[in-house]
Amino acid sequence: MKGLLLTTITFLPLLGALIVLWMREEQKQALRVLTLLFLSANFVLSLFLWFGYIPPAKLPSVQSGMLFLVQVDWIASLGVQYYLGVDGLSLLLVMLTTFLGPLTLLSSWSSIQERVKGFCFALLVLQTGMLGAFLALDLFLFYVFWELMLIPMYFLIGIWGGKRRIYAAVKLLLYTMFGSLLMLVAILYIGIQHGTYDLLKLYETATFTQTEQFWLFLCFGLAFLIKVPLFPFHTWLPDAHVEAPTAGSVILAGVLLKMGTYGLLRFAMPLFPQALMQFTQPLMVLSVIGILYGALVAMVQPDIKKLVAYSSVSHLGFVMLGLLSLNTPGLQGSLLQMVNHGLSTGALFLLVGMLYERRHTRMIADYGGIASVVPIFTIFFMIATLSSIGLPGLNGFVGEFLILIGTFSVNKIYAKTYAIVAGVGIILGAVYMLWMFRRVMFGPIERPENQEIADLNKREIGVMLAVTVLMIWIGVAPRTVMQKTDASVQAFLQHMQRVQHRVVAGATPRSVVAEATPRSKRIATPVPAVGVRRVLDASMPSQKTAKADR
Amino acid sequence: MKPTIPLFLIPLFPLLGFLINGLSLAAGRRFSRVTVGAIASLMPLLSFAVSLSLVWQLYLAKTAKIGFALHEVVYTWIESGDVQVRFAFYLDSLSAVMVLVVTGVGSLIHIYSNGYMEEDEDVARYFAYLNLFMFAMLLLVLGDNLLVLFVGWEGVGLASYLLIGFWFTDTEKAKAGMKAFVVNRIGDLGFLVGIFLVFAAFSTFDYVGLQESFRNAGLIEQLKRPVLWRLSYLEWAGICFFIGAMGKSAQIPLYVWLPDAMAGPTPVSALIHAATMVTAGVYMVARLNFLYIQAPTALTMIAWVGALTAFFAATIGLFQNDIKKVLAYSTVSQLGFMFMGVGVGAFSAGVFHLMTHAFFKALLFLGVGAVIYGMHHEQDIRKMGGLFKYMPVTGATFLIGTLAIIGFPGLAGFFSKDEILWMALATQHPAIWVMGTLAAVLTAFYMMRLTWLTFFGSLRATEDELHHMPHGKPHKAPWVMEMPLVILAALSVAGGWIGIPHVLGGHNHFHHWLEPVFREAWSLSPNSQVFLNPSYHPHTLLGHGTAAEWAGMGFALGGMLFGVAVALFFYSGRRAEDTLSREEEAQTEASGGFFSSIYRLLSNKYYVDEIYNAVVIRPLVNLSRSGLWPFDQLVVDGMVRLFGAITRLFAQILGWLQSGNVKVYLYSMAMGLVGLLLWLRLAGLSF
Repeated sequence: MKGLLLTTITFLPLLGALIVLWMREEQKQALRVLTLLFLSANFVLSLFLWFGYIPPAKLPSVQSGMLFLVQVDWIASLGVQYYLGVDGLSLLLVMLTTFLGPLTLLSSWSSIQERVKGFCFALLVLQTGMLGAFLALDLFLFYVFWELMLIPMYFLIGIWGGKRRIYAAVKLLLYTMFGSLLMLVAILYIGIQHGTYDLLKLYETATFTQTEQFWLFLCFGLAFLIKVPLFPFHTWLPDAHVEAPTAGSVILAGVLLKMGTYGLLRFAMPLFPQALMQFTQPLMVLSVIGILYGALVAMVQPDIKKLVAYSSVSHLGFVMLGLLSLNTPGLQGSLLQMVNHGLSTGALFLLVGMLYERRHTRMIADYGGIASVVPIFTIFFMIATLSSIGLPGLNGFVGEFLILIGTFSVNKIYAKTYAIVAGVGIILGAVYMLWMFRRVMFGPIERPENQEIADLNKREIGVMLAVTVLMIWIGVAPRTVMQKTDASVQAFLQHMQRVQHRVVAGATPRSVVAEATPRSKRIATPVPAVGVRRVLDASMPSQKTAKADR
Repeated sequence: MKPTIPLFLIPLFPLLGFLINGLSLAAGRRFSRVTVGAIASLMPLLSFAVSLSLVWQLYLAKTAKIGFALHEVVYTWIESGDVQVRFAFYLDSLSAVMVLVVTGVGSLIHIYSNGYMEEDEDVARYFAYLNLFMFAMLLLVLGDNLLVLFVGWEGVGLASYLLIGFWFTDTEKAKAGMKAFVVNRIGDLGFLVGIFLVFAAFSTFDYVGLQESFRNAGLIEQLKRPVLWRLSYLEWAGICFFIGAMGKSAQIPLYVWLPDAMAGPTPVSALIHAATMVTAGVYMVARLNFLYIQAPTALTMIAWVGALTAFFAATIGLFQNDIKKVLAYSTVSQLGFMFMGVGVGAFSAGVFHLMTHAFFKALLFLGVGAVIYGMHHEQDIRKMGGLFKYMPVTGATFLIGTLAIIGFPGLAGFFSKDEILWMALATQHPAIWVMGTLAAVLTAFYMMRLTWLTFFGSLRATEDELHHMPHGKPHKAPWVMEMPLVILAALSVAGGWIGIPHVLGGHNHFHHWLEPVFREAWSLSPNSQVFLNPSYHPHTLLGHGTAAEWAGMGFALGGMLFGVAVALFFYSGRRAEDTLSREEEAQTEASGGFFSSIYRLLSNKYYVDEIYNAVVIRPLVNLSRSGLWPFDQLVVDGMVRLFGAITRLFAQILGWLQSGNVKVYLYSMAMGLVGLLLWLRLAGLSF
């Protein structure tokens, strides 16, 4: 029964999609309602997952954090399985996906009038693809879902997008496909080498030489880093976002980008820890560059949507930094920040879409002073903006704070420097968001057509309210969300520490988990015996986790 | 010790006020103007009542020697690995002072706002923001750890942003709000890094835990070793926190937002940008006294930044003609005094001045509000004069406020400012004492100039300008505005009496009230004999402490009288017109003499805004607009497109080969075969 839950959650949208296929294009309203029903039902189902996911407080291994497992042979001759499971690393993202699903449809309720059937079909298939990718525990199965979600997104942008939609769609497809194919090669290599695609088994047993690790990490990494997107692989993102319809942008920013960071966390990092060591420094540098670069470029964008797109580059840089810090606050901050970014950037895209629907322009210069015309819109826009710039009390702060303190706690002078430099990104975040906000919302109304903008209707208020409540909730009570990840994060870190020595001959075993490395002599955070506890030790029994889960 | 009434009620009431007014506004369900104002004003009053009762509990506990602080944990906010942040409140004698000032002065300003904002459309939004500010400020002062402090710290920044840009249809005002937020954010990064440094060393955020760790002498010894540029780890932490304070408390070089913040409604300037929020930095330094006492260089830096700010802001204030700008620079300058106090280690003196300043500066700002109200939104003092007879209560209370700020003997400012200056001298900081005394002289001058030009002499507004006023003349404020003025005036007079120094026959109750908070730090200070002396003045200095203290006081008094005399000489009676027209000339005349150029330099605020614009803002925007963005499109994306183009090129070449011409296929097959055979032959294979 428990195994059925994940399968249902994954394939319910697909079932909906099949039903949609049988309906006629003219039944627009029926199509929408049916799709909404399926997406909402899926969200309700996933709530069972949320409340049902109670791992033992202390996990002996990553595997034991996996619940709701379902494991069936799929292509037995190749060792490919249908293997799903959820743990603390994926649970939040699954919830985010099912939560955003109905909202994206609601936000397109009136703006999408053409080809409604295809639109609903694409949205539903996309859900299945994304959920499958988050839940898959078989490399091959993961790849299938990974590619499955690309296709509906391609059509979403290519059909319902803006003027340069074809260019943007093809660019998105080819760019991400380029990375994916290399990943496929790597997956096949692993599968053939080890005779299985079972991720959990590979965690336990897989051994690679230093060279193998290097190349495999590169292949996996490239696919994921393009998706994140990490500077300098980000240029598909502004194009895709600007051209995509609102629903596409929300899913793209909210979920698809997280596929990259999740992929690193689930596959590239735990499978190839030695290579991760080699790449940590350059990846951190790129993350920090991305944070500042994304923010600076966002600052001068004349197009609101493009501004938000570039801000994603900056925000995802923070998520990457947290992952690479490899300690509890950093990782948990990253996991939370993935959700936060989905909510706040998702909210911003929703709001921009609502404005666009009314005025058919996304240019900052076309607005000005509309705060007095659309007060309710202003409130939501303000809260989303503040969430995006990480104001304490809202969700963004908790994630950013944990990421930065996690990075700062790595006992390397370079990590501390990166944390401080990344902190400059927080200042710039306030600059570009508030500057945009001021130019759009404040000042006198100079264009008569802005006088006429209608405020949000009930449907839109409902959508925004759902997102906003969650943003405040996470900001005020982040524990309620984060504690679901406690056990898995501990297990993950323990796994990273355990596998650091498991290298085939020829490699020098080096420490992976940053805390385990000796302190640099240059910085003076001395470690006296008393009074000072370390920020995290993967090896330390997690009493706090136990306490939290009680 | 457990509080008898939940501590969280204190911030909860304003939060409720914010939610009630805010949500009803959002739901489009408008309460009447009076209801809105009543709800909003009641909430801080309730907080004030709760605070009073809790401070009374604290007082009793202190006298009975059963406890020095009330402590209450609400819930665990963040928990991740060792990062544990409890949402908890802490009331000791230091936060007690803050909480009473914030809720007390805050309540008065809420009441006053009912009159000031009576004609504004958006009064519900105004009061919602004002309550939000109170909530955040109370978190800031009541939090039991650095993170809750930071939540309040950023929260007051948000409220300040919203209230400065309250009249958002005016682009300039919206810009001022954003400037305040961004400049504060720069400071906040420093603060965050400070938090990181502290956490990395001590693995805790809460004051009690930190104080405990600081008792670990071995650990502190290690952290006091130089690490970077000859400064120790603790020095760096102290400096980082102080960068935060520079932003929030408007010190050089981050003070630039405060004068612009005057764009907000005047009661906001009184509450946020004079009495409470801007003093948060002083509170924070006093709160982290245990850290700063171990970081003497950082502390000296604070004293110096404070002294320089006190002096330079005062010079800018000399010739401002916007009635609110004068007070803005005066606030910056007075904050400098407070930092001078805490910077020389005299934490209680700094906090004392914080409190008295809250009284008289709130009074002055509210008085200015009454003037602006009565002059129908006129803010230029050159168009005022002789207002005393139109608004006697405002005039009289304003005069009291002026006397208090310039340190007229017996009034609140006299005791607190004197204590700071005296402490600077007693702790062997003569240069800082000189700067402070000079700043005090300048203060006397510009405040007297302001008072005289506004309330005395003759009205300089033109007929036309007067015509725009309701009855063709300035009018007095309603009682809801005058009542707070009177109360604050009373506090500006009597508020200093709790800190009368021993040399004047007092007992400095204020110092002794705060002593438990600072005692440990002071005992480690090289000047411990100054601070911990039962009569709180050194006998060691010059061998005869009392005489020196009298001398210092006499000096300050003389300076003050000199400043007043100069101001009266130039701006009273018939000479006022003459001086003002000469100021006018100095402003416009290009060449001018030495004094005109000084005048221009000062009235243009040393061109600091222009310099920041040219050195920081414009290069950054230019770099992004004509550097990074084109780079992104041409180079980064260009590489991607180049990759695509190369692929397409190959496709074309290969496509051209697939011409479909059988003859070409046959030829190439034959050539290939020949080539292959030749190659095999050459490779030495026989067949």
